[in-house]
Amino acid sequence: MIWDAPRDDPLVLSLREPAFLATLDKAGWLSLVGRARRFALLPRLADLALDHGTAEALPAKARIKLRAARTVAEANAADVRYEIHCVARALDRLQVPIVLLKGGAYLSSGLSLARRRFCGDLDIMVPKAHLAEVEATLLKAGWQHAELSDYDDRYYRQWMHELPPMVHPDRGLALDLHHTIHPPTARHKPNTEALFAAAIPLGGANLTTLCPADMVLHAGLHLFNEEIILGLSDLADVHDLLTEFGRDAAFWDELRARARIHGLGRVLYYLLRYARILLDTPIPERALQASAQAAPRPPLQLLMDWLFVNALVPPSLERWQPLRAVAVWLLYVRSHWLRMPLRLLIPHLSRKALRRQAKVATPV
Amino acid sequence: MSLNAATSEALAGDLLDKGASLRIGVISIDLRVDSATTAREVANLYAGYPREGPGTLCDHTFAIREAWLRQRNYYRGLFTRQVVIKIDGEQPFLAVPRAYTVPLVESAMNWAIAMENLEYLILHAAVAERNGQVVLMPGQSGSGKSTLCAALAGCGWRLLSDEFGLIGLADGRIHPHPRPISLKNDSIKLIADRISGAHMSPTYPETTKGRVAYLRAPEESVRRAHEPGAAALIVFPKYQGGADLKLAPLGKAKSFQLLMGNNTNYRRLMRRGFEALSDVVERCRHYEMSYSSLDHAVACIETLLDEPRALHSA
Amino acid sequence: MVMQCWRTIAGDELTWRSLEGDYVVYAALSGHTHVLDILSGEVLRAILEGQHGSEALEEVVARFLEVPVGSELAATLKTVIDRLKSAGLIEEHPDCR
Repeated sequence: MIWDAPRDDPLVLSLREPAFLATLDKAGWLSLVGRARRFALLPRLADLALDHGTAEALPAKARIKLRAARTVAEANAADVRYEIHCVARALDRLQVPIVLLKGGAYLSSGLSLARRRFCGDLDIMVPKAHLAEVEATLLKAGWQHAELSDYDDRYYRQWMHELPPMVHPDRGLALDLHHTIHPPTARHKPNTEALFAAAIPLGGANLTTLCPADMVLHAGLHLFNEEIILGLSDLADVHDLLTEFGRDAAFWDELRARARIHGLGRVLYYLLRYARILLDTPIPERALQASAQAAPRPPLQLLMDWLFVNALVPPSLERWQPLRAVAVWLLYVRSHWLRMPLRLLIPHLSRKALRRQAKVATPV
Repeated sequence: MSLNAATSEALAGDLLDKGASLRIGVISIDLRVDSATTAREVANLYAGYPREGPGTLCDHTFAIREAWLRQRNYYRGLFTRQVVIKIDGEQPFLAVPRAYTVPLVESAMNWAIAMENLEYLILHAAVAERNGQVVLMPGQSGSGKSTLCAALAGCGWRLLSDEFGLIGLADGRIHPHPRPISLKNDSIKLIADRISGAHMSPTYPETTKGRVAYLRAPEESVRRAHEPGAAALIVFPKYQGGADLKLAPLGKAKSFQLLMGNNTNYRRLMRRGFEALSDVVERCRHYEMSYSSLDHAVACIETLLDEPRALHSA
Repeated sequence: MVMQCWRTIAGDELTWRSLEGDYVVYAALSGHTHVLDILSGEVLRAILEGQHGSEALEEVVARFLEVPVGSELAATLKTVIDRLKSAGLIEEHPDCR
């Protein structure tokens, strides 16, 4: 019952039923496009709507906006592919497995999901023992570290699981170098060795991706334990992964097994539950039931449902929605609590709160 | 659809009330302002433009409103009244003094098109048409292209745009977006003196680019704003005070290279951008022209278009 | 004389147009567009059409410049190859036959 309203939210509904877009009036379009753009859903809407039978029924300017989003996504995909090519070349001589994560992995694996999202940076993972060597090789090949304050630099290296982002000045796409997929200080530590052991080679070079089950769990980990702000977009990614990989019946058992290996049963429970509830993801009943073994106890379950009901659906851009803001903030604190010990958490949160958003310079 | 006081009043009223949807060639803008003065200034420039119905989705939605305390830009004055513009629900710009609302709106339109439009290959160029042939005059802000374009418009040329050459990706034609022509500093008086009955906005004295004023687009240009044209000539203009007119043919590959540095979206359009730019470069004749006299520059371009063989490089 | 071989970058797709003889080339992998003089364009075209070895390419240069094959051509070819290489359009072909 608490799920009726979120499911009927125009953005959520559009993801499930693209035909719904043909019913929108001008105000509906303006609201939808504004939210979709702000919450990283425009390329996805474009992909769903433009190839749908109802595309011709959409207002001309709506088609134009969607086509523009598609063009941006295609240009971004080309940039990411090129960056992957350059990274593979630079690290070719090292005998080091390079695991592509997230967007880079989706693109290289040819998943249809890749068309529906914008990839802001290239995430790669290498074994911790080789981290320094890989970093040095990249720097020698022309990559540079982004300029960071000392605090941020230390935050990245010491406490998180990635180096400060690197960028090659010829290209400008950020490269994030990880040695695991979740901070070493986190409460839930996936089994990094198992991630590497099950990684799947991509043709040619030393590039690999996580196995399908690990890819799904990583996406779920990011969504439920890290950032909720683009939650619907991330959930839609999970939906696509589950739909594509789930065609293979063996995938669901593999997913459960890998969740056990990594201690991510709770994350698996959440990602299956909310993907099904909001997006009607096709998930076998037995997989759902099995995952429920890791469900939180009823009081906590109710709280988490309430938090995610409110936080997964992007807020309105016109109205202030205090409940949504509270839910997002609570999940934000939760995500930091899950990732850092308390003694680091409070100073970190207060520093982040002091950052300001920059505006474009004066236009006239 | 002629400019008269009634049309202007009606538009001003709508801009202030629920907003007005202006069709400016191939780009349409929903605009709402928050003061009667601003509404009149905008209406002065845009009365007579075709309007979209209230339920028609436009390319961009702009709304002007008073800046809140924390949005104020204190570099622009402690006590001036300031406004901000919402562009498609976002607010990328700092506040500006209320008196500069029109330049703000014009800048915002340029910004929105440059940032987002991927429907056309877009060159930074002034564009004018005569006898079915389109001339593109590429150049960055401050190159003199707008002044030259205003001079051509004053001689009966059709204005397609003073800022953007919109090249259709499918048809290779140049599509119109005839906005008021922005003139800066000395050009303002130059054009005002040159064109009798020139319909200009007030001069805005202290923009980051100096003094700015806007020349209303010629009526016929607005009336024919649905007609694309075939590109025939690309002339890179360069204003050089005191210099004689110098015209030199430009190699196509060189022109291509210059245009790659004078556009908003070539790279994002990938191969389609490459094909579109190659097509238009192949089709046109290319020149570089430096000048100080508008009369000479206009005459030169007219000759280039009408009797190409009559001209030899100086 | 050491034979060297060249090829376009694996995974790249080149589109070109001829503008008054000069070449403009779009490289899909990098998204870069290059403006090439006609000789560089002809050499690139030959490489694309399967003529990988420096000997064959020297002949292409000779035919284009309408001069006999000779040692000066090697230098000219090297300049062209360096230009194409630094533009990221070609790389050494490991299999030189």
